[in-house]
Amino acid sequence: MAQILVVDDSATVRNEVSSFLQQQGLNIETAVDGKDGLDKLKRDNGIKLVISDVNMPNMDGLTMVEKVRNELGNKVVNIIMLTTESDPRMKERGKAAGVKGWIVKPFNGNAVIGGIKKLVGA
Amino acid sequence: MESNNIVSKVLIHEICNDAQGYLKSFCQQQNLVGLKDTTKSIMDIFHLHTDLGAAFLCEGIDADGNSGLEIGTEIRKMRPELPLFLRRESLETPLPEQYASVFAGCYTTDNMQQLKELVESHLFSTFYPMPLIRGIQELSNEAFHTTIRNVRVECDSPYMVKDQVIYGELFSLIPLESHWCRGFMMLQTTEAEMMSMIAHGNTSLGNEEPSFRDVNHILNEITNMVWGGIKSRFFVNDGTVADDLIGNKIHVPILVNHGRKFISFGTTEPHLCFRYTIQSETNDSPPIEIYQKLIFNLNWQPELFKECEQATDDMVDSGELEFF
Repeated sequence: MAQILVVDDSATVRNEVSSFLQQQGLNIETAVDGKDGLDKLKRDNGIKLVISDVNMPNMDGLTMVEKVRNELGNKVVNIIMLTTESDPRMKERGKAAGVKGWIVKPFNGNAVIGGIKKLVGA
Repeated sequence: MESNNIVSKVLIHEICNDAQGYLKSFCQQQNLVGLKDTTKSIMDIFHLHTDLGAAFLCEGIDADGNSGLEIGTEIRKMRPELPLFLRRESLETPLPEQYASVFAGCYTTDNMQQLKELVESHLFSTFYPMPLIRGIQELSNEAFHTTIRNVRVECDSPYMVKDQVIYGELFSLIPLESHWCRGFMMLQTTEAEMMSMIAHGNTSLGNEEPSFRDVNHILNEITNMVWGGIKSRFFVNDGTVADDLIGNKIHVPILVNHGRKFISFGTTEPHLCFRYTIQSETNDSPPIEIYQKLIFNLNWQPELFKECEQATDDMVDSGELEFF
């Protein structure tokens, strides 16, 4: 059972983030966009944390968050965004939708692993 | 080399030694990089260079028996967007009618001011704020280093390109939209060099036998990171312009001719271009060349440009987790 779902349309980012977190002993699942992420969250209710990009095809990351909270009714899973976006209004939208934290790319595993482990309860 | 002076590459086909001397000084003064066609035929040079700003020709007959009028006519057929400037002995008689539309302008070496005015109106007609130029170079450099590991990145001086020819087999295209500019950014490159870099473990894909899709992933991520950086640093709306006024505006078709490797954004304005060379630190892969072109074909109001210092101050450092 995965602890963390990494949602990003970029294979390079999925690989980089997943590899780092697996090296830290965490179980990882990946999804290629918001729609895929939503489907995987529906199927696996053991996921503790979602790390998601914002700008993705088919369904963007913030829409996915809104659907997780409203359509799935999942108020428990922690969600952080990993994105090139840093517009304060975008962050506000994320915060209102129930996003727990925000990382501006590039991903720096060592800088964020403490926070991630805390959110996963590892 | 990294420089902020905007230059332009021009092809020089000149038979007169004195005129060559004048053009050499002129190019130095006007931020032009002159390419002389001494070793290759002029048409070969056009096949090798997809990033020219203009060509300087002369009316006389060259060693191959071709006049600048005939050469200009051939170039015009091949690269109609490229301005051609013709040196004449005298401007008293007009050009024959069939050549009048071939050349953007004529000049004599007695009055290089004429040529300066021609170059300014055809090549350096658009003002680009220096903080934007520097910022694009910095953001791109960071994106390359993040996506491709253990490499050295060099950036030529930014330059203006009239050519609309696509470099390499692969390019990405993403819109750039703000209250002060609207257009596109393109990244153009070749596949084999990027594939070699992936195969040698310089990316997070870790694939010894990469496919063209792996190359797409890398260029996609670089494009995304540069775009995000530009958006964050230069496109933050201070609230004086409604968001729905930024994106909901006119569009024009983008035309691509695959056979001719040609792309048109419907504008005759020169594109702002940066050429990057990405070299593996261990030299086990051939260098990657990336051409980054910015085309603000839908709106360009640099007087409204403002680097978002306030927004930058408010931001958390990239890579760190900001808890809400």
